[in-house]
Amino acid sequence: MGHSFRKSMALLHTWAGVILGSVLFAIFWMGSLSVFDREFDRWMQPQTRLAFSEGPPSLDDVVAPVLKSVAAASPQLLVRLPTERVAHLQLAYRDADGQFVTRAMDPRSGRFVDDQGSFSGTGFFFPFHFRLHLNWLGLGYWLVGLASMAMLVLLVSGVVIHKKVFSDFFLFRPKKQLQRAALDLHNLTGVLGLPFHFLITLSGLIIFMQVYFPFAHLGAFGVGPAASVAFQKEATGRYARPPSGTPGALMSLDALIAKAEHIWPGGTASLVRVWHPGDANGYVEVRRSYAQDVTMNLDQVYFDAGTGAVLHRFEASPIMGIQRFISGMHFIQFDHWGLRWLYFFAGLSGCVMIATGFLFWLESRRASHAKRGLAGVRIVEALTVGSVTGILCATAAYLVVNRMLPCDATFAGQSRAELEVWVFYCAWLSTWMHAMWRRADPISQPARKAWREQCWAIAVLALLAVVLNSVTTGDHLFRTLARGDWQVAGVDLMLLLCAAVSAWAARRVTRLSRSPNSARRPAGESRPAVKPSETSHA
Amino acid sequence: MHRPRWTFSRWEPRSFSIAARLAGAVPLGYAFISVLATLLGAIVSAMGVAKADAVVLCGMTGFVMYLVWLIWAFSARSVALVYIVALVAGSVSAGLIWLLHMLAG
Repeated sequence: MGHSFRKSMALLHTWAGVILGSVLFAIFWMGSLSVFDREFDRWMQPQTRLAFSEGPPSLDDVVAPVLKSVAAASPQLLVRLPTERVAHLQLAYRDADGQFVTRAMDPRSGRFVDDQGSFSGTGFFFPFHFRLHLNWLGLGYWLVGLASMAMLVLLVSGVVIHKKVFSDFFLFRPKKQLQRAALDLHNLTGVLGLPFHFLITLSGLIIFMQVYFPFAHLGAFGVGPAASVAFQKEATGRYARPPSGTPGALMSLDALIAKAEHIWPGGTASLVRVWHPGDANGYVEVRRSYAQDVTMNLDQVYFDAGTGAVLHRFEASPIMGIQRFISGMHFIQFDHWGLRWLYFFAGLSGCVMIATGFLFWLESRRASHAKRGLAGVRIVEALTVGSVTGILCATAAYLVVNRMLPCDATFAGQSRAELEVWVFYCAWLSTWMHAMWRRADPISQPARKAWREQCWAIAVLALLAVVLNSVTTGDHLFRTLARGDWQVAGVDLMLLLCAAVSAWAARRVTRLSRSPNSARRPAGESRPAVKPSETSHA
Repeated sequence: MHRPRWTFSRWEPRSFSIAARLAGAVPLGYAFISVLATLLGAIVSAMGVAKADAVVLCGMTGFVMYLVWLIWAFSARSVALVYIVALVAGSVSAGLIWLLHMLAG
C-alpha cells in the first residue's frame, strides 16, 4: 500500500489545517488582542480613563452607600478592586427591577461612570476567543475545543513531516517565490514558537477541563447531582448560608479586607462579595489577588457580616493548584509588562503561522487545480482572505464604530454595544463577499486584488480609529503620553504600527503583481538574462 | 506524492473510509478517552490521593491521551482496528469503573 507514518501525518496536517485553519486564526487573533483586553476597554470606554489611585480605595466610603441606594434590593453585591491595569472599581448587583447590572465606579469620588455601551476587549474580544460567541448548546466551546485538539495534532504532525527541523529554522527566503517564502515563514514561526503554541493550546484546553470532560468525576465521586456538587466544593471551594429573613448589620468592609490580608501571608484582596446584605445571616466573601503569581489562586475567606468571625476558609489543593498554575500561564493575569508583550507577539506569530500555512497550501495547489479545473484553490483562497485580512478589517471597523456611535445609540431594539458587534460581523461578512468578488481569475495567479484592497482597508481603518480617538475624546498621542497613560497611548501606537504594516503589505502585493517575476515559472525554465528595472513600469 | 490509501476494506470507496476513520478517531475516540480519564480518576483516588485532586489530574492528562490517540488513529493501517480498540478498551474501562464502584460499596 505504500502507507507510511510520515505520509499519513502529512495528509492529516494538510487537511486539519485547511478545514480548521480559519477557526484557529480567529482564536489566535482574538487571543492576541485579549492579552490587552483591559487596554482596549480603557480605549473604547473613554470615561474609564481615570487616573490610578495611590493606595487601595476605602470601600466603606464609596461602596457601602451603594448598598443603601441602587443595590438595596440586591441579594448580593460584588466588588472588584482596582488593579495595575484597571483604575476603576467594578460593581455588580441586581437593581430595583431585578436586572443584573455591572457598573464602573471612580474609587476616589465614589461616582459611577456612565454606561459606555461597549463590550470592548473583556466583553467582546475575550469571549470571542474561547467560545466564538456561539452560545447555543455551547457550540462555541466545542468548536474551540475541536480546533484546539486539531492545533495540537497540527503541531505534532508538523514536527513529524519536517525533515530538516534545524536547518529550516534558520532559513527564510523572502525574495523567493511566494510558495517558498510562505513555507519558510510557516516553518520559522512554527518551530521558533513551538513551545508557546503547544503550551498555550494545551493550557487553554486545561482551563476548560470541566467543560470538555464533564464526567471525569463520576469514577471518584459517583453519579448524581450530589456527587457533582461535592466535586465542585472540594476542587474550587464553596460556602453558602441562606438568608434568615431578619435584619442585621454589616460591619466595615475595609476591616474585613484587612483581616483577610492578615490571614494570607503577603496577599492582597482583589474581590469582595457581600451576600444577603442587611440580613442577620449576611456574610462577606473576600478573594485573594493573583497579580503577583502565575497561579490563579482560589484563596477565599468568608466572614460573618455582623461580627466579622471567620466562617470558612479555602485554598486550592496541590493538584488543583497545578491546574490553576497552568490556567494562569494562559490567562496571564499577573502584572508583568515584559511577559505580556512577549505573549502578544507569540500569539501574532501563531497567526502568521496559520496564514502562511494557507498561503503555502494555495501556492502549491494553484497550478494543478487550474489545470484540472478544480474548485479547491478558488474556495480556499476566498476563505483565507476573509479569515486573515477579513477579521483584521472587521476588528478595525469595530474600533472605528466604537468612536463614531453616540453614547445612547440604539437601533431596532439593539443596544449600543450590540450595534458595535453588528458592525463587526457585517464588516467581516463584506470581506468574504469582497474576497469572492475580487477572486483570482484565472486561479493560476494569486488573488492579489483581494489581498491588496483588504490590506489598504485595514490601514485606513486603523489610522481612522486613532484620528477618531483624538477627535472624540481629545486624547491625542501627545496628551496621553504626557500624562503617562501608556494603555491608551499603546493602543494608538499599535494601531499606527498596524496601519503602517498593512500599507507596506498592500504595496508589496502591488509590486509583486507589477513585476514579471511574479508569474510562477514551470520547473526547468531559466530566468531572463537581464533583470527588468522597476522604473520601466508605469 | 504517493498518497496513502486509507481504506476500510479494499472494496469500499475512499470517501467512505475517510469518513469512517474520522468518525472512529474523533467522536468515538473522544468518548473512549473520556471514559478512560474517568477510570484513571477512580483508580488514582482509590490509591489514596484526594478525590478532587485525582479527578483534576486525570482530566488534565485526558487531553494528552486524546492527542496520542488521534495521532495513532490517523496513522493506523486499518480503520477497523481503530474502532475495535476504541470500543473494546472503552467498554473495558466502563466495566472497571462499575467494578470499582461495587468494591467501594
